[in-house]
Amino acid sequence: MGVRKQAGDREFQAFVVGCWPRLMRTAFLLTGEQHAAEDLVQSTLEQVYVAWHRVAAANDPEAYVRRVMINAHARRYRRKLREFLAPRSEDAGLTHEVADTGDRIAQADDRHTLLNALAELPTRQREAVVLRYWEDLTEMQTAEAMGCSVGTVKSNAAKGIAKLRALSGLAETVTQGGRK
Amino acid sequence: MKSADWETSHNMTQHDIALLLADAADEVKIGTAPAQELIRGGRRRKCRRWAVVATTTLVVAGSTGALALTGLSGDGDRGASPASRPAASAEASEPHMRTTLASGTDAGVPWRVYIDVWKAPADTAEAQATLAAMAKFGEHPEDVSTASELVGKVAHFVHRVTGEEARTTQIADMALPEDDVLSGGEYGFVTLPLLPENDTTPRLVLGQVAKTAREVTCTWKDGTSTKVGRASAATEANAALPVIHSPKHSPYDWFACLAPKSTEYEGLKVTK
Repeated sequence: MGVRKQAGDREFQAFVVGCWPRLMRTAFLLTGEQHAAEDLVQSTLEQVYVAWHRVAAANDPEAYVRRVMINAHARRYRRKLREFLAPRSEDAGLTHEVADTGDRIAQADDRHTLLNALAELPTRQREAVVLRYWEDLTEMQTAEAMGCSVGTVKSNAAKGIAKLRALSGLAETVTQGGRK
Repeated sequence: MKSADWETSHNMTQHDIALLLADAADEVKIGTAPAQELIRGGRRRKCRRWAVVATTTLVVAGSTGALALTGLSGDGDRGASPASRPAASAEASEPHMRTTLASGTDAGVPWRVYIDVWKAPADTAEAQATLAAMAKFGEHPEDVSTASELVGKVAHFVHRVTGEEARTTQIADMALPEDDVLSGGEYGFVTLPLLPENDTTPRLVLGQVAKTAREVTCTWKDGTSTKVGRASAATEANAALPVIHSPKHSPYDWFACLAPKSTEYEGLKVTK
């Protein structure tokens, strides 16, 4: 292996270690399932490796990676439809294993409710909500990640939020000011 | 117009959604980033990046294309176009960017596989000229929508020509960074039937290898194998022997070989 290639691999490795936790969380919110999230992040980063010299030279490598992941997510959704999104009851991320107090049970219920509600959203609305309110991207950054206009982001985020608010259980938490 | 109360409520809602999302995101098990696994997966992905478009049959008029290609040689030279010849004609007469990877006659049917490699343009203007030149051969990289996306990328198009009528089918299309090299035993390949119709047996193997590779061995399901080496006196003497080619400007070397009539592809390895 060439020196240049080895250096590229080292850079890629450092990048992966740094961005892995955040990508996993984002992917989990997008897919609602542990293994699907891992699969999405791995697939995304393998694609990033292929174009690593270009990604590394980009002004904002993380923006590039987000774009790859959102594209990959959209493709998978089209292929597997809602089956892919439905949270699985046996999934560790969605069980209430740590419900040792009333408050933790309620907290786990909220998570479950939110993940189910997210899974009910159309793909673009879910992507817009996750990127805007979890990734905390601006509308412009979200538009770049989703490959669409700012107007489309606004529309999808607003509709997504409205649907999440409308869901029972979640609405109560939200209108009370949220869990602190 | 929205009221102040609505705005307050709206912002609070979004804030709370953000908190709930953060809370839900914490449910995922993060684990250790499998960096080495990702690198291996990325390398495999790099090797198998074939955009096979075998269903797209192109009737490439080699003569028209060659004549129409004015002033854009692989080196960026401005000069006379190659002479006009049919698509399935001898390599010596081919357009500057074309290399025949393999050819032969199978059950009386002549066949040929060739690759067109377009030098990576240095800037958008050059990319526009390259795209225009490609278009005259019926070629356009599938993942390139604007000229600027082609800058720095070498475009490859692999075609299969079969029959007396020289029916030409584009079977692969890829635009790659010019420094996207393979090393050691890395390779990429695709298998497909020799004929575009009424043929489902994957006998034709197209592959990419590192420029340092000296021999590739294709194994077939009947237990036999075919070695594909570099050009030598033996291959000069027998045109039917497949050879690893080094098309100008491609970051890879390329080969094509055909399984015997009664069998099909089983495996591939860089053996030297």
